[in-house]
Amino acid sequence: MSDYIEPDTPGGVNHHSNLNNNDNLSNVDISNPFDDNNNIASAVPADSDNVSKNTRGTLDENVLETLRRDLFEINSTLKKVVYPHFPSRQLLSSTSTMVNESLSSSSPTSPNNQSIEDISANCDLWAPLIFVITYSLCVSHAHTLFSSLFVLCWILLLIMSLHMRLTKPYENVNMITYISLSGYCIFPQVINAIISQIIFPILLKMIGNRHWSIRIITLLKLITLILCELWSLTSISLVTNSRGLIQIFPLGLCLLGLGWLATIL
Amino acid sequence: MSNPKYGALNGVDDDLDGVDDFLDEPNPFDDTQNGTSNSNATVAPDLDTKSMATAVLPDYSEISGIQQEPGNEPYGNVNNGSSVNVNRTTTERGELPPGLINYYSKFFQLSTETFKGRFLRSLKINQLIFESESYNPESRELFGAIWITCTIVLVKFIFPGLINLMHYGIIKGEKISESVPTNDRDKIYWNLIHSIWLFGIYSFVVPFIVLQIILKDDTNGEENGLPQSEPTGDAGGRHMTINANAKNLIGLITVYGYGNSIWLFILPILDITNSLATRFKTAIAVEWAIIALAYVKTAQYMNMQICNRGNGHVRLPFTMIFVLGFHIIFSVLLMFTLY
Repeated sequence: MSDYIEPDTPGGVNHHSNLNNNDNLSNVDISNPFDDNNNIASAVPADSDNVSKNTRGTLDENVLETLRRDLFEINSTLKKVVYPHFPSRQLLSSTSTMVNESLSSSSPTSPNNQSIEDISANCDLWAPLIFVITYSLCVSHAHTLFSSLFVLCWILLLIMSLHMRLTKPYENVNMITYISLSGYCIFPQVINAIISQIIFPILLKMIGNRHWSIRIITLLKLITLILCELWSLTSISLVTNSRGLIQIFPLGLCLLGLGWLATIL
Repeated sequence: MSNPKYGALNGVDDDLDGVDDFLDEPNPFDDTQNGTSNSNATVAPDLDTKSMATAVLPDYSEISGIQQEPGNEPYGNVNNGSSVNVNRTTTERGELPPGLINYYSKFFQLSTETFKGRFLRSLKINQLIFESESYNPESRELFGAIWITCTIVLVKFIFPGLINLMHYGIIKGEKISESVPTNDRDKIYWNLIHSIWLFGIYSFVVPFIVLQIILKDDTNGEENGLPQSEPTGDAGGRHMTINANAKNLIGLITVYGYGNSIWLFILPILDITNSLATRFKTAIAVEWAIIALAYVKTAQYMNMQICNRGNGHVRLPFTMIFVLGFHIIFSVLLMFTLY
């Protein structure tokens, strides 16, 4: 046993594998910790793969670059959480198989649980904030209703995460993670809001306010609502590992409330 | 007694405050003097010359027995279909304080079958929602009461808008914003607020008031020598006793929550009738008739859940007068505020 205490770096650099780390660290000039050339992480040559992507240095880059990187991170999480769960025949069949498998063997070390842990580890509240603002802006048309919708969205996210926390007390997921995951899963509702409140009215103006065009647009609104509701519900139930009526029904109720507001307002 | 550990320092006094003044005193960190030490403890080897004290590490098997991370426990979740009940496991490990979220999770642990069974039984006549009349702490839950009430509020919000969307948007082919008067559209949002406070108070505050009356009624009955928790065996049975599940707040909230399930069907019917009220004046009378029917059904349900059955009881308990009175007030308020 040595006296060496591992530094609290987010990447968890593996010092045990590098016996010559002390030599490397001794060459580092620590007079200017913000200097890129003297970066301690760069002094560790072999384990650069282990350095997490969360090792961020926002002080030495411009704002646009930071924003772009954040957007890419949000998009990469959406790729895991929301995009693959669009309701399709293939997904519905695979979902039923997954549920049967998970019911038969619900071990904490299953691959499904591991993927949830991966997503939970990289959760953030930036994406939910962006989605809630976009949703509120679209539905309220930037009028006085914005603040009410903004608060309502966060209350619904809180209710959903509280519900998941209460119905699954033995899962090692905290409230903030549930809020983040729920926030990501309202992305389809944002799409619903954009389509119902911006795209369809523009289409209606282009076509003209004829009776048949209003009928079609109304029907399309209802279809979009149902599709986005199913999309959100599938995403949130798969990502948070929610199963059964008891766990899924309240989530569906909250998402339906959001979707209906976007359709009717 | 000099400490043999510090052989070189023994007998040295420099007249200054320091380590040498405490050489004769017992070492509080010493293993043999430590009151908390036990036979199973293992002493970690002193590998580091810079360490000031010898660390006493208890046996790992003891630590693992005491400190178990909740997330690593092999307990199943009832909601996931596992057979292990969380209520039981929580009780075995001791009750959590009410300040923690996990304390309330026991009120949300029920299987889908239990929920469906209770929901369907609440709609039928002469059926108890609880599995038995005897008191069972594990049968208490808040899930049904909370989410049935939320569903009713959402149905009340969605259904009038859906009727407008179908009527004007699809059948007539008109824009809702132009066809439906602004007052009618605003009324939907006001109704949402009214339904939230109305159903919220009826489902969660009224049970609290009723419980106080039940407890008072119970005490009076005991003073008069009447049986309370079990049905009377005598032929007269003058005093109808209170069901054991209705004698605690959570049980009573569960009764009221499931009792609301009738409104899931009544409110959409009332919305349809209300949309016809502009054409047919008799629609208002029909609305009141529907409310009266719902009242009778709910009153019968309350009587069934709160009072013990059997043994030819002939008189309603004092409590039921208040229960039915509150329900009349609720029904009338519902008609005046939502329609």
